[in-house]
Amino acid sequence: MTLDLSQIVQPMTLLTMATGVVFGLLWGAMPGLSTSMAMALLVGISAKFSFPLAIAFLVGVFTGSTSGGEMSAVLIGIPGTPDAVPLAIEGYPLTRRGEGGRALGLAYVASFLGGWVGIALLVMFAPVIIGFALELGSWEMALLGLWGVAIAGNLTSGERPLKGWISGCLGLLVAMVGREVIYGYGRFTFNSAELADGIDYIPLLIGLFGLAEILRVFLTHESIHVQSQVRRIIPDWGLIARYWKAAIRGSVIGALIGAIPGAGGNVATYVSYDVARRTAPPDERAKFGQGSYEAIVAAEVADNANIGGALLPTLTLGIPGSAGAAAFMAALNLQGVRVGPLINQDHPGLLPYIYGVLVLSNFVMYGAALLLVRPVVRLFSLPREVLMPIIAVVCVLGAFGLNLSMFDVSVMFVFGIMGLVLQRAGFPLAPMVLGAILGSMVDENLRRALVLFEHQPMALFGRPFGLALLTLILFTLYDGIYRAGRVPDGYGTT
Amino acid sequence: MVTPTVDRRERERGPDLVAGTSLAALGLYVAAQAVTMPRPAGWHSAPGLLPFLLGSWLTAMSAVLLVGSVKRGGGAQLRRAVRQIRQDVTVRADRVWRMAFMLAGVAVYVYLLLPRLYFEIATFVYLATTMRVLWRREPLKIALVAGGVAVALTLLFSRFLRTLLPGAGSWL
Repeated sequence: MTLDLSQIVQPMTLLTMATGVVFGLLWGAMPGLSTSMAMALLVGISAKFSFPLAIAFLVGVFTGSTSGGEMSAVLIGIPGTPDAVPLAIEGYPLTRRGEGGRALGLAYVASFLGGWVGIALLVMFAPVIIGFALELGSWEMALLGLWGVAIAGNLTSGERPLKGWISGCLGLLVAMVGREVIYGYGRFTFNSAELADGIDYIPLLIGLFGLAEILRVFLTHESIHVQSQVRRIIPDWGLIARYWKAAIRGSVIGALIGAIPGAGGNVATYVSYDVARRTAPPDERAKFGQGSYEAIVAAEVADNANIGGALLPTLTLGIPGSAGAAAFMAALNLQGVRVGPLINQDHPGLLPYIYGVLVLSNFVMYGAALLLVRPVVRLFSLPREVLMPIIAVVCVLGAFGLNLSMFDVSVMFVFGIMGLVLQRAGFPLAPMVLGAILGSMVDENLRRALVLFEHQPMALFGRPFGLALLTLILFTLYDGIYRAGRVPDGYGTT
Repeated sequence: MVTPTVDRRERERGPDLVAGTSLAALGLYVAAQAVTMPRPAGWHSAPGLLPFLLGSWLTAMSAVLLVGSVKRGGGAQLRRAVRQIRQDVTVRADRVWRMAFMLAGVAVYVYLLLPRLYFEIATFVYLATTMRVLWRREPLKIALVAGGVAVALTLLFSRFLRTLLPGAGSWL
């Protein structure tokens, strides 16, 4: 499948991408509807589009929904997406003081800038990582997958990495169900023909981020009250100039965290927000929690820089940087694209095409966000009792549409319940998705490497990349245990 | 000082006890099953190798979760949590009931309505019933919204996206 940059400027591509951005903005603005949920639900639908349009649509949704959460966070104090929590903490007090328009304008400028840094990181480092990944053998690929799950568990569960690792382990076990690739032996199939084909990770993704989220919204229902009378928003570039240090630092943090497997925009915004608070001058630090523009800049640049960062390992290594990127990877798989080190050889022109769509969608996001404030404020009053049952139907359609199988709908249903239970018990869901995606890769490569080195197993530890990855895994586990031990009741070893 | 994070962890101690026990049992089951899997060319390439490692790893991590919970009064916390759940069910009865209704509604839609009815009819019945119970507006308004959405989704998926719909086919 060959793509070229001229396809980006085709009217249909531009229209599809803009539709994706607007849809994403509206989706993200609705409290309770996250980027991961939007991406998971739309994977199946995108399979019906032509290849260039599917990419344009999903990149548009990814960019739009990441920024959509900002509106509800600033205007009504309820983060539309988990990434927007720091923004709600800082933006809503400003809205109550009558500065909502300025705060929201600043958030969009920051998102726009952050988007550029993420794209720049992707463009600069993709060839480097692809070059590196081509050097990796089966042993290294297995270790890379395991490191991805370990670090995702570490970063998504706060000071309780154990729960993140357990979640990742459950995901890896899900991938063990069905016929394995080397001997065709059916594992954990319970004589079911459907289970013998394995558990597809897309219904799992829809269950964990779609159905579970719908159920959670009903459990944590909050009444929405639109406080402000924001008529227009003011993109104040001068404020960004004033907080340029926070902008640069936040962008780099967001992009780098995005590149770490499984750690999505929520981790990036929290880390950037926390670093900004620690490093702010005392008078600015005093404003944190009461409405700080610097905090808004720090959180929002990180949020959008995360998109490009998250796509970096997704496209070059086949290891998703976030749950949204996992859904994007699934969409590419459905279009017959196998992401990974061979992406440039197998699909020439695909990476530049994705870069181009990202650049354009970043522009469209900025313009559309400024125009969409009024309709979005109206959307806030749409009752969840109407919206959520409709989304449940879309979840069913999304799960069914992949293989036209009611078994996939049952998988979605079971993982929806499981997701709610796990989330209520404090287990993060992203490592589980990552485990389910990477499980077969780890299994196949691990066994292949052990067969290749059957007579000299110690040679595995002499391979430089393998040794480096093994060290990274051990360091990740040590870091998690150390952090858990430092926090009271973190169930660490100390 | 009790931080919100620590407070959350205290609340999680009770569920940790249940989670640790059940996940350790799951890990043991997986490891035991993995051992019984064939090893045509030795353990290196055995289908049960990774499941065995994962099952053992899950058991070990769950045991740490379980021991940590027990050491820090997870049993007492669990009893408190059960009492709290009873209170919550009373205090937050409406929310819990809505969530349970939503879940039951999806189950009825997937397993009872879709296999028996045309997609748009099943979707209309599901949406109208759910909205009637959760939204509590006049029946005509609900019928219009549910009907409109059912038709729109049918047309979007079957005509625009040209995909097959789940269930007993489509009427439109």
